[in-house]
Amino acid sequence: MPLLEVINLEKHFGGLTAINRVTFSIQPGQIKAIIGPNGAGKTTLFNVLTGVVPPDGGEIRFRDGDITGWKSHLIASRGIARTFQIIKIFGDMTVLENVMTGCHLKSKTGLLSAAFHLLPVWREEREIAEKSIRILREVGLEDRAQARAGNLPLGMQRLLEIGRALASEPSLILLDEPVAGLSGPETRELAHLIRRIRDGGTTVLLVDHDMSLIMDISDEVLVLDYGCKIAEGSPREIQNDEKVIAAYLGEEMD
Amino acid sequence: MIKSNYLALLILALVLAFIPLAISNVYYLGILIFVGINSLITIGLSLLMGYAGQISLGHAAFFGLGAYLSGVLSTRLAVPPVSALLLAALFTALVALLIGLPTLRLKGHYLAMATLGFGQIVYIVFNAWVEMTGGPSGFGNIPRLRIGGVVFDTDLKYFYLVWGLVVVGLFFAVNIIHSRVGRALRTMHTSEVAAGTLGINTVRYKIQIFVISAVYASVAGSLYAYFVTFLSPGTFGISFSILLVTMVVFGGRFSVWGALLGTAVLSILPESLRIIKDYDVLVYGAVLLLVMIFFPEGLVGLIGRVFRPRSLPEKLRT
Amino acid sequence: MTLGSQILQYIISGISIGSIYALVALGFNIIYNTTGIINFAQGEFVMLGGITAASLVTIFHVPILIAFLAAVIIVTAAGAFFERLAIHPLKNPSVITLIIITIAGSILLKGIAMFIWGKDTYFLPSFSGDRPIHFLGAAILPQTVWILGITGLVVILLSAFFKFTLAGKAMRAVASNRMAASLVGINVKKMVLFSFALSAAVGAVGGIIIAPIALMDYDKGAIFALKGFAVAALGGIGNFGGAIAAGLILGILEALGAGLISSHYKDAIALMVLLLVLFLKPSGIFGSAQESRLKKF
Repeated sequence: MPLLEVINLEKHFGGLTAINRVTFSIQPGQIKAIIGPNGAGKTTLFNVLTGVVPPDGGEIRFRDGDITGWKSHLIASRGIARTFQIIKIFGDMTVLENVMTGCHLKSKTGLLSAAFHLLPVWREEREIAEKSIRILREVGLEDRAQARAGNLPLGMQRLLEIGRALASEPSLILLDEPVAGLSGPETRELAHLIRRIRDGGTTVLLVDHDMSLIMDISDEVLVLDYGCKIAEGSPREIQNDEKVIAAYLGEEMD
Repeated sequence: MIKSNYLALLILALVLAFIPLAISNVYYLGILIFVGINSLITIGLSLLMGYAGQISLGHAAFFGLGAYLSGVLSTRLAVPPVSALLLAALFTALVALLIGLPTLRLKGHYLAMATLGFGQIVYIVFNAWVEMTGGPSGFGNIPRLRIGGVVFDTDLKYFYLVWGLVVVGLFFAVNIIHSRVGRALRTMHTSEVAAGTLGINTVRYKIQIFVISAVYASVAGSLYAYFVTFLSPGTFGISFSILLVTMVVFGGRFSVWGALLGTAVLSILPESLRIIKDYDVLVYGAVLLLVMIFFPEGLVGLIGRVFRPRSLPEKLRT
Repeated sequence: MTLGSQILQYIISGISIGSIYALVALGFNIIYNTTGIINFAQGEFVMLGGITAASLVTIFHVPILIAFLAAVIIVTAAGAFFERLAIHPLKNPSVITLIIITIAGSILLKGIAMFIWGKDTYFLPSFSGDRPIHFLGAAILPQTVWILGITGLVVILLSAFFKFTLAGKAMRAVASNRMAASLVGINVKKMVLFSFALSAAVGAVGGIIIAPIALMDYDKGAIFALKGFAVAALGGIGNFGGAIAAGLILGILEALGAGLISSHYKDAIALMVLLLVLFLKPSGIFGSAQESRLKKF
């Protein structure tokens, strides 16, 4: 049974159709990639899937439940986490606090118990901090835990955003251009990390322009063009698909 | 972080314990009691302004609800003061919830406008419901606060009661800020979108903080009623709501300590400088405008810059 | 007086006070449309207009027409000055910053008024005497006619300004898309300045024409701002036609409520309406319900 099922999804902005009746699904344990020329609707798709903007039509089913049109915090609580193409870390917090904020769903201190700060609250804070340190170790930012997040270089901010998303222990993580702006070695590091995330039991859906990365790590690739799905299949199938080649020839020559 | 705040609280408590010994003049003790009552309101208000990113222009009304409900319940219905204080706080919390629920779902100016309108309505009711409130001339004979066998009938006792509650109020506020809830609120400074995708229901926390801040104001109002034992509507108008906002902004709205500092300075200065009392509107307007334009982090931010030059911009450091 | 003519009387006085609310609401909308700011100092422009004209006429014996023009010019300058002082220096301000800034501006203007005029009340004589005109058993003050006429004129001038002049068109462009407007070479910052000046002028006119009916003092601004905002919200923030209709509706409601129910709660009626609108239909009863607009507010 698929983890995520998207059926005839639609999103319009005024007269512009950003997503045009797109249907696909993700099996648990997969790394699936979405590619397409600029403006193909990839980020919009992520925004719709995570409830940042509501869909205009179609259906989204996750872990066999309908989540179409849900608010983003409810979708997150069902187990979908994400990162952003334009990084949205909490720049005025420390690196550690960023990840601790990511633990929001897996902790439960409310306003009143927080006010009294009794033993269970104190204990939960310590647990969250320890878990966050473990996650920082996993993404390689342990020694930066107390740094101000906004002061980190871009590559580390991308890692921090992934760590923060992982802290909610999602069953599906959406990575929006995770290697944009990264160097070659950093990109290879990240590819390893993405595999480790999948091996840890989290299904991965990613958008990126780095074809060698995509072809290297993905189990399946979905191609969007002008909001429409034009191809779906294994990396090898996609590389030889005529429609895909045509779409990309029109867009970029590299 | 939380530990240094606890240390500051401890120092504050010690200083407060000895203040009455150093002050012989009852008049000054009275002023300090008012500073404490105002601080209780502004601590709650700074949680709302600095952490939930919202503004209330009706906190004088929540303060007034606490005062009038306590006063009316204790004088007309002979409810014991502590029960009256708690009932007033509960009622105020419900009212705040009713206002917050619809308006905090929406972005922007809505809460500010709703609280402004609500504040004015409450003010009108205090004036117009003469049978209950005594109308514009007010009503008196409110009994003294009594907890168990202790009657708080001297300024000295009241000083310790009010400031004891301020310390408790600060303790709660500091704990909230340095908690899961505080972190959730701080995300709103940067990205509500990111917060949502982490499962944080920002609306819910905004509403909770708004209700809590109204409760702080209500408790302060009850303390005010049992201290002055006479209430009239003049104290609870829009201009007091705006003065409270000015205190928070002046002290530094991103810190509960700023609220305390701003309240102390703006409550004590007019007592010593006649010119501020005569032209209070002009002075407060100018203060608010200058602070917002030139040092939006208020006094606390300014002091921080003096003592921690590391936080200065790069070019000023050498 | 029969009940019918009494009600007619209330409606007429409601329409005249409602016109003033509509003018204040128009002032809110002019600034909101160009900047996304709710200007809490809007009521102070009304107070300044009224008190300036009143003191020019009663103290310096300036003819009413000249006092009218002088007061409008002075308040327009105050609006522009306020924008330069408080709004212009801000870079990327948050909503809460803008609220605090415009509140600061309103207190400052009020404080300056108190400094200049003290706490006294000022009275502006009616523009053309006080002999009432009788109409179906109701007595209409000549000032009411002036209020309706001048409000109508302001509305016509404003729509002509936005439709036919270059500056008006530029302001509309900024209102509909700030980024695009600046790309085609419109100086957005200048339009923001214009909008404050224009809305100060509209507010001042309202203050001057109502001054013979409502006495003016330095503290009058806040209540005009509140009611004007209630009207703007009822009509849908940014909606000019809605503001005029809502102004008349609220003015009549208030006059009827005060006359037939209780004058104590007269001021509460507009505020109750404000709360109900904010709670139930924040886009206003005439609101275009454009979600994007709503969010900016």
